[in-house]
Amino acid sequence: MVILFPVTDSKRNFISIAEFEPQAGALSEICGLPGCGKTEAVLQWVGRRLESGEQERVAWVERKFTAYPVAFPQYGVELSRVCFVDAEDADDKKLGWVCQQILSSQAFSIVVIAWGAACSLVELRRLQLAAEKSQVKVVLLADQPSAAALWPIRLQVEASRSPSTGEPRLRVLRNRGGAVALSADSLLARVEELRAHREKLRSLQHQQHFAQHLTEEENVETCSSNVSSA
Amino acid sequence: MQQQRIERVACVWATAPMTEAEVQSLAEACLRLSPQVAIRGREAVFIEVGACRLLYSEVSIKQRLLALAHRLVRRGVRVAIERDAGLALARARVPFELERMPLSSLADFVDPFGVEAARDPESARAQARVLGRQVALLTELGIRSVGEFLSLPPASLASRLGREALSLNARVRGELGHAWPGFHPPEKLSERSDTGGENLEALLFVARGLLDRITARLRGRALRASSIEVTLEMERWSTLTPDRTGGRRFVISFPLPQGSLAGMLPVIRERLGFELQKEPLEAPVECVEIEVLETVPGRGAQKDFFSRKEEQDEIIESLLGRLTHKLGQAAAFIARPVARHLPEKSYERTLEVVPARETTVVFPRRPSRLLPEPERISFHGLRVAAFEGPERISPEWWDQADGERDYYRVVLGDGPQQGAMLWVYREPGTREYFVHGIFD
Repeated sequence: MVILFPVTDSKRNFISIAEFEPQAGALSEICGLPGCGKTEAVLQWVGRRLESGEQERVAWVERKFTAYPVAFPQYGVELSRVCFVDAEDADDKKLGWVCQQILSSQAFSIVVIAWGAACSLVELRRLQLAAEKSQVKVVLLADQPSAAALWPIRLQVEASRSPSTGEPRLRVLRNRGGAVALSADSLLARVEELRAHREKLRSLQHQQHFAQHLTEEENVETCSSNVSSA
Repeated sequence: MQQQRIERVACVWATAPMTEAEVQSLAEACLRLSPQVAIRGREAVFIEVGACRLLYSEVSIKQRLLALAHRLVRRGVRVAIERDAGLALARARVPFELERMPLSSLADFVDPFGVEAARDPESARAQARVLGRQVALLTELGIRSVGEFLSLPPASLASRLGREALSLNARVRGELGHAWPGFHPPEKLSERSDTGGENLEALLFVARGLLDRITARLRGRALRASSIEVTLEMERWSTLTPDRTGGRRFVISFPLPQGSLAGMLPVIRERLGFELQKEPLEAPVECVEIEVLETVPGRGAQKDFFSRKEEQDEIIESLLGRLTHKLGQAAAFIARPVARHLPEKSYERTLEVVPARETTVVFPRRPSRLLPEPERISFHGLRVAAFEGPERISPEWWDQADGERDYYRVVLGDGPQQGAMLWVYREPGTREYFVHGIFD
């Protein structure tokens, strides 16, 4: 099979999944339309975490349960270490209670929540406090990014498919409290990228300046030739 | 190499007589250490800990027994571990070395389990009279401690003090053992408290104590509770409850059998909270009783000293129980793959923590999201950037309702979901496509 993708997107603000690292005791949100690869991104991150920590366990809560557990081992996620909760028909209050129970049990180091509809500020704040108390990494899955006023979310990233490879990639929308999600290598790469961009801009400016200069010279020459011909 | 078994007997002796329920509960809870348990009336429980010593030190056994007694018996207890039941009882009563023990302690060596006294009280009294005479005789001879009694040459004991003295000497030396009476825990596993309350918090405080005792007894029997009944008896002569004198009963079934207080109490809190909110108490509760209706075998495994896995499993099972109770059956689960090809039937929801080897599956690439019902899709107006397939999946031969399916991975080429991957299928020979999963 050959998959062809148009390479049109800029690489700015994108981080690789290897660089995605939600902070313990804080809320992180990963959003994107269905099929964009947000679940795969989370699963890859969870798989990485489970490989490194033997005692880690994951709670996976969804209001409208569509997660397919059979696919989880593909990303290195052992099913025996994942507890699923299908909170179908649960209202916000009940779903909040479920999340509080999971967080306060302290049996899980990672909690993934697909809230479904937009999560209210009150519920987000409750989740944030519970996550902070239990020092659990809470990742919210959403189709649309939550509104900017929802300050309890510390890290907000948007997932999309890479046009070249089709693999999921992440773009940082919000990173409250500093570049906690970026590794040192990533920061250095970003600096290099910015330098290259600046150089490119400079060269463009030079070119524009040169072109403008040429145009002016041409204009002058044209005028002088016109004058001489006249 | 098999280690030689040494007989060691632990005796838990209460400084004041226990109730019948307390002594039974304590003996039942002690079954976790050894199957050989005996009780002496309402004053002592004996546990044969010879084999148990291979797992725990005697100090640890003593601490465990004291902790159990603290949970189950509301009075002071002393614990002694010795070579036989008589000596253990005597040491528990009088915390002196054998050499300094008073002669009155000799009575503990005669019938430590109290079998004779229970079977034939008259004979026991006669035996006590004989022993009294012998103690008086020994005192007259200037012998004041058990150590001095043991220093007498056994060969001359029968001629000087009679054959009873020879038999007694052999018992004190540990040369003559006692047959252990059997202990059979009661069939009904229930705890009752005559302390009540007027609100939920007070009732839960009482229930907590009862559950603590019940879990200790369950642990002794290596069982877990799957269903319990909570009975609240209200004040009989309350003017508010002229008709309801029987109290209120709540049967609570645990979705996952529970063997710990942390697993049971939140479920009971939820249930009682719901019921009492719906129908408040008419009168103060004067008695709370909790009875275990159904049990299942518990885990017999020893605790892993270097890992918290068992504790984690217990916490998770307790959490699963609470969530299932709140959200409904199979709402909280652990997924277990099953050997079935159809995607929607390839895993099952279970409440048991699944061993890791059972969860490792190898499949062609599967989507991270599976729709509950396949949705028909039309590719008119959609540009497909790429596709992969087909992967043919056949249903079970006995299931005629489903036909074969050819699955494709399809990458959308334009629109708002550019690059999105879908898992679509069609039945061979047809042109209708269905979305079954999303590579989200």
